[in-house]
This record gives sequence, structure tokens and C-alpha cells, in this order.
Amino acid sequence: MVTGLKKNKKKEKLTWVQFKQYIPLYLMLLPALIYLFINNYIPMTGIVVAFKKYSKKKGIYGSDWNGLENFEYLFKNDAGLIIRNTLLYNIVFIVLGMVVGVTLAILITDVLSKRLKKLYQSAIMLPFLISIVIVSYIVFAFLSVENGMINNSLLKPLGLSPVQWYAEPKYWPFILTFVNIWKGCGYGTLIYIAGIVGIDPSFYEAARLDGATRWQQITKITIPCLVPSLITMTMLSLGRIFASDFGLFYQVPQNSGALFSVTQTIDTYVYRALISSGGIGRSAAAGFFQSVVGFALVMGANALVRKISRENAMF
Amino acid sequence: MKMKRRLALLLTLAMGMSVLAGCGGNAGTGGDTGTDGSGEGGSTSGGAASTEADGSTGGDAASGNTGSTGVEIDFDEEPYEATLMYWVGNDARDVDSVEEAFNELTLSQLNIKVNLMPVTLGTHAQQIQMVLSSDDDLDIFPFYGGNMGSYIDADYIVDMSEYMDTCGQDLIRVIGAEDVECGKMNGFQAGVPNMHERTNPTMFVLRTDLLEEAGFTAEDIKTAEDLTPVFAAVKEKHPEITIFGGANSSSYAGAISGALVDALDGKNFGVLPNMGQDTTVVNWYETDTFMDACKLMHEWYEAGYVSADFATCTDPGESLMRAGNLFSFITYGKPNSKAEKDAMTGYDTTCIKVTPDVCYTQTTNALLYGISSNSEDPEKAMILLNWIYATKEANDLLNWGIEGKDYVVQEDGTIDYPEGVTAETAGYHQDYGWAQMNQYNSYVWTGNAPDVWEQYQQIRDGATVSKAYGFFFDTTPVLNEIAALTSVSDEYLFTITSGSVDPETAIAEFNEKLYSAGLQTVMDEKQAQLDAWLAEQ
Repeated sequence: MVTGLKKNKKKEKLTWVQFKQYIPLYLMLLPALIYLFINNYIPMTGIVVAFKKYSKKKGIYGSDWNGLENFEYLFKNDAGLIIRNTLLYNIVFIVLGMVVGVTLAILITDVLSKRLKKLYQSAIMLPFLISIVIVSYIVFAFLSVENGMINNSLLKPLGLSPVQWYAEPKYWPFILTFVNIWKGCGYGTLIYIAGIVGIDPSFYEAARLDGATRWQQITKITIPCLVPSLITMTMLSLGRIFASDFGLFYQVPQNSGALFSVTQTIDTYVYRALISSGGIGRSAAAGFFQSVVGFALVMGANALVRKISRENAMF
Repeated sequence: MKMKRRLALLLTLAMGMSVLAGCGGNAGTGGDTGTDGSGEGGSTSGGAASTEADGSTGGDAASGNTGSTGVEIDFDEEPYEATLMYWVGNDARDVDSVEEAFNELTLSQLNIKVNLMPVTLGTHAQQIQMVLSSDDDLDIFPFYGGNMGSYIDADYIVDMSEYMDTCGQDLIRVIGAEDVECGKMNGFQAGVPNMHERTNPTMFVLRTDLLEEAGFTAEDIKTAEDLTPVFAAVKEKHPEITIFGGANSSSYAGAISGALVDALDGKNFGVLPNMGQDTTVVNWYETDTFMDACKLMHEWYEAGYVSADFATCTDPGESLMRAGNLFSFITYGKPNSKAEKDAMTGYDTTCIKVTPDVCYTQTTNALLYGISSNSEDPEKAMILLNWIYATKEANDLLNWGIEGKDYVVQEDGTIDYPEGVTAETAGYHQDYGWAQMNQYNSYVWTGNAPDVWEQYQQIRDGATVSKAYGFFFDTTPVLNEIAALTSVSDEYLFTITSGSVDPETAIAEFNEKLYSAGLQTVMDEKQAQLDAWLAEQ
């Protein structure tokens, strides 16, 4: 859609007459714009509080500046580990989420029965709608040392010794990835299904006439046609690459200290640090830091995409 | 066909936008995590109080008189409208009648109209930061002593000391001058302690039936070590139940830090050993006391007495015992502990105190009532607060509702539900005196000793007092270190105190991490502030 607009713009300049035609559409856009401005742009000026020693009496804009002091605690303790965890998990989530999402989408669109298609789609979507707190207890039901299903119903009958799941960091990168994909893949799948449905069936017809196998159809038609959706989704996730799903990293490991080396991310660290001292300035500093890095990553990724394949870039 | 592709893309974008919108929302709550964070953080230091749902309140007849304020009250002017936030146990249906009755008293005695704002601990944790940083009406509000520093720093609260002499005399009389000092930091009177217990001795709660079955009595147990043979005997008879458990914060090695050393700010990064009788700050995690306690826990854990999930458990021992799965857990001892725990667990319990009663600032100031800087007239707010502490009717109204409707007075002076009213049908019944202003000056609920508040007072009077009582560490200069230390402590502490790891190696590693996170800086700052405070005394 975006690329289409661009081409139009190049061809003909927007004249007043044409603009007049569109006025009703612009008017329809207006409420949303106003909403966006009030809700998303005006509060942005509050970013200054990240550089201030906040005082209620002096207000956000009147408080004293304190330079980068609010940012200090972010880099105080094992900053490398925390940033590594956040980034690596997010990269794995993005890549795996895409692979699993596209695979499921292709499989589901190939289901012939309409009813079954709906059923599978809903079944995959369901975990996405479950609160992470409940998910954390589902996981606990599996992993609890004393009463957990895996220890008692799986390892014991096999004659293996029980595992202290909540004290052994080495398993958690896999557990967290699994939980995240299980919970989140339904959403991506839905979007990719919409993308696949939108592909011109005549492509497939022509391919079948030429004797292409099902696999060739997937690799030569479905996936290339999905690329724009894939790029958009990736770009959106990249913007959040420095933020982590708090619930996933805090609730699911039951806030177990022994697992911090693999579960501590920026969000959980900030939460734990602020629990002890609070402070609007520090929370703002953390949010600001994440936004800046996210922004830089989105711009960088977009620039890269533009270089490789210009028409797929977002802007 | 191209249209379809575009539609698909449009959908992608639209859904993408909703993701972004979600992000926006998250960013908003990101700021709030600090909010309920600070609430929860406070509750660790206030944990003493929050583990107890006090099944009691009572009337100390001696102090049941209406207090007098030191300032003249002008009844001709328009009544001042004050908003009073206070902690309650549940969202009562009939706050309106209570507010009406409350206003009858305040309008006629103080010419103040009060808007009652009862909040549960959960609501408070979520909302207090927002209310404080906004301009919402708020005069008096409860908070955790651990938050004093950050509230002062952000100008959220009014310094009460300038009103103390003119209109806070009843506060000093009721609370006691020494205890009022605990609401102070660097000379700034942030709030006044509420009337909850003043000591937090470590207490084991055991199921009496199993204890007797194992052939022991309360007399056999004087210290935690004495419990080892008891645990062994119970385990042998009942291998199916967990012998010792509860929330991860209530390990023996964890609980004694609130009883045997003065943490000065409730965070244990640098403590005064020997019940606060030494004035040199030491590292609690390097003391023999801590090591011995961890070894005992480890011994219990190895023997299978401690729940294997203890390090991550957040269910309180009361509910685990109620479910029939637990023999013992730790709590903070009070005079009426037994009555309270019997009611909460559904079993006849034996409560054994294993540490002495000592007064520390962090216990007394766990819960404070202060004046918000949103208050239009802090002096009026102070007059109101002063009056509540001194007025029995006020405390009865806030905790028990309306006499005759929500409760009736019995012959022995305690109170109970009226005929036909139960906990479910009562319009207003909080039973939350421990978090309200002055439970000492109100009725005692039936089932408790009528003189329970005298017992509280006796314990306070007979307790050892820490040399640093009244001093509270201001963490502002070392906030970054505290943030780092908290992170380290969260990583190691519960694993160590649960007994699931070998204490020798784990504690050494823990201490190494603490020092590299800046423990020495914090301890030095603590010592410096303490020395300055001691010099002033």
C-alpha cells in the first residue's frame, strides 16, 4: 500500500481539485490525528523528566536538571548481561516467531475443511489471550519440584532423578522461548494467513500448469508474496527489541533468584531496582533509553531493507 | 487482485498499529511499575504487619477519652474539606453511613468535613504513586516507612514537625515521644507511626495435634535448634506433609534479621549486630548468626523437612497449613498470635517465640500516616490526624462501622456482630486495626483478651530498645548502589535462606557480589549518618 502511494505521488502532483475530493476523507482522519497528538505527542515532552531530579512542588518542567544521573543505575550492575539477555531473547523470539508463524499459516490455509480451519486457527490463537500470570501457573504445574507433572509423571516413571527446575538456569532459555512462541505465535499466524489469502490464486494456477510441486509453490510464490508482511512485522518487533515482556521474564520463572543470569532483562532489572527506591526520574530514564535504542534499530533496519530491496522498505 | 494484496498489507499494518498502541500502553504502565513497585518494596519492610490479619481490636478504657486540640477552632468559617485515605481489609458496601457518622463528629468538634477514602493494600500499592504525583485531593494518607526518603525527595509529603507542638500533642502522648521519632528522617517528620505492635520477634507456629502426637510439648522448644528432633519425629509419623514452609521470605534465616539485628532501614545492607546494642555497622551476611541460621535451614532442607519449592513459594504459611499440608511456619510474634493463627489456619496451634522482643525503627515506622503536599491546609489535616489518634469513636467507626448496626458491645467489653449479621452481610466490617491509626484506642473484637492492648503496651515497655531507635537511614545518596545491591540480593538471598544450597560456598559468593555492587559504600554512608545522628542525641 505504501509503495503504491509513492508511485502515485511521483506520477502526478496533487492538485487542489483532487484535494477537494479527498476532504471528507481527511475530515474522517482528523479525530484519530487529534487523539494521536494529545495522547502520544504531547506527553512526549515529559521525556525531560529523565534528566531531572523530580520534585512534586516544582513540577516536571520546573525540577532541577541532574544530567545523566538517572541513567547511572542502569549501567551499574552487570549491564552487559542484562542487555545481552534482552537482545538475544528478542532476536530468537523474532526469528522463531516468524518461522513458526509462517509455517503454521501455510499449513492452516491448506486445510480444506472450513470448520477445521476455524478450529485450528482459534486453537492457536487461544494462548495469546491468556494472561501471563495464568501462563506462569500452567508452567509451574509442569515444573514444580514437589508436585510438578514433569518430575512426577515423566521423570520418576522413567527412573530419572527429579530436576530443580526453578534453580537450574541452563534449561530456561529453552523454556522461555517455548512459552513465548506457544503463547505468541497465534497472533503472527493470523496476520500471515491474511497475507496468504491475499495472494493472487492465478499465480498458483500458472505454477500448477507448469508442473510445480507444492513445495516449489510455497518457496517460489507464497513466501516471496509474504515478504512485505514479514518485513513490517519484523520492523515492528525490532522497535521493541530493547524491551522485554515483563510477565514472561518475571512471572513465568516465579521470580526465582537462582535463574537471574538467564531471566534478568532490562524491564525486570528496572522493576527490581525501582521496587527498592522508586523514583519517576529513573523510570523515565529507563523508558527513554529503551525508546532511543528501539528507534535507532527501526531506522537502521529500514535503511538496510531500503538498500537491499527498495520497494519493501516501510518509509 | 492487487486490491486483495493491498488489503492484506493494510490489515498487517492495522494490526501492527495495534501492537504499537499496545506498546504505548505498556510504556505507560512501565512508569507505573515503579508505583506498585515502591508499594511492594515498602511492604517488605512492612511485611511484619502485612502477614497479620489482626483478629482483634480493643478498648483501652483508660485512654478512651476524646482528645483536645491545642489550637482554637473557628466554627464560623466554612468547614475545611479533608480527604482521609486509610487502609482497610475489604471494599465495604456501606462507607456512606460511616462517613456520615464520622462527619457528625468532626463537624461538631473540629469544623472539618471529611471525605473517607478507604483503600485495600492492593489498591493502595497501585494508586498511591499516581495520587501523590497528581493534584488529586488528599490530606492524610498511609505509607510505608521505607518510602520516606523517596517521598521527601520528591516533595510528596509535608514536614509535620512544624505543626507538632501546636496541634500534635495528642499524637505525642498516644504514640510516645520516642516512637514518634521513628517517623522522622534528617529532622523531617514524614509521618507518625500507627499503633501496631512495636517488636517483631521470630515465632514458630506449630500444629499442636502433630506436636503432641510426636511426643513433644511447647516446653521442649526454646530455640530453633530444638525443633530438629521435633521435625524428625513428625516427619516419621507423617511423611506426606511438609514439615516447614510458607512464603520464601519467612525462612528462619530470613526472619531473624528483623529480630536480632537492627537493619536501620529494613534492607539489611549493613546492620547493627547484637540487637542494635553495638553501634558499628557490619555486613549481616558475614555474621556467624546468619551463617548458623543458614546452616540450620540447610540441615532441615537436606533432611527433607523443608518444601523443595520453598525458595520460590509466595503462599503464606497460614493458607498452606489451612490446606492441611504444613506442620510449621514462621511469623512475627505478638501477644495475640495464637488466637489469630488459630483462626487463620483452622487448627489449634502452638506458638513459640525464639527471639527476644526488641524495638527497631524499621518495625515501628513500617506503617506511617502522613500529610500529603496536595493538602490545601496541612494544619487542619494535622488537627484531624491528632484528633483521630485521641478519639475512640473515630477509630471504632473506621474499623468496626456503626454501633448497633455493624457491631454490638458485649458484657465483657468486647464487641461482636449483632444478631443475624455475619462477615458477609455486615455493611462495614474491616477488622484491620493493625493498619489503621490507633487500634489501641478502640473496641476489642470478641475472642481476644479484653486487655490485649495493655499486653501490647507491656511488651513495648519491657522490650530492649536498639541504640539507633529513632534513626532511619536516608538512602538518597546511595540509590544507585542500593538498586544494584537489591538486584544481587534478589538473586541470591531466598535461594540461600531456603537451605537448598550449601551455605558456605553460596554465602561467600553472595558477599563477593554484594561488595562488587557497592556494599561497602552503603555501609560507610550508613555509619556516617548514624554517627551524625548519635552525636545529636
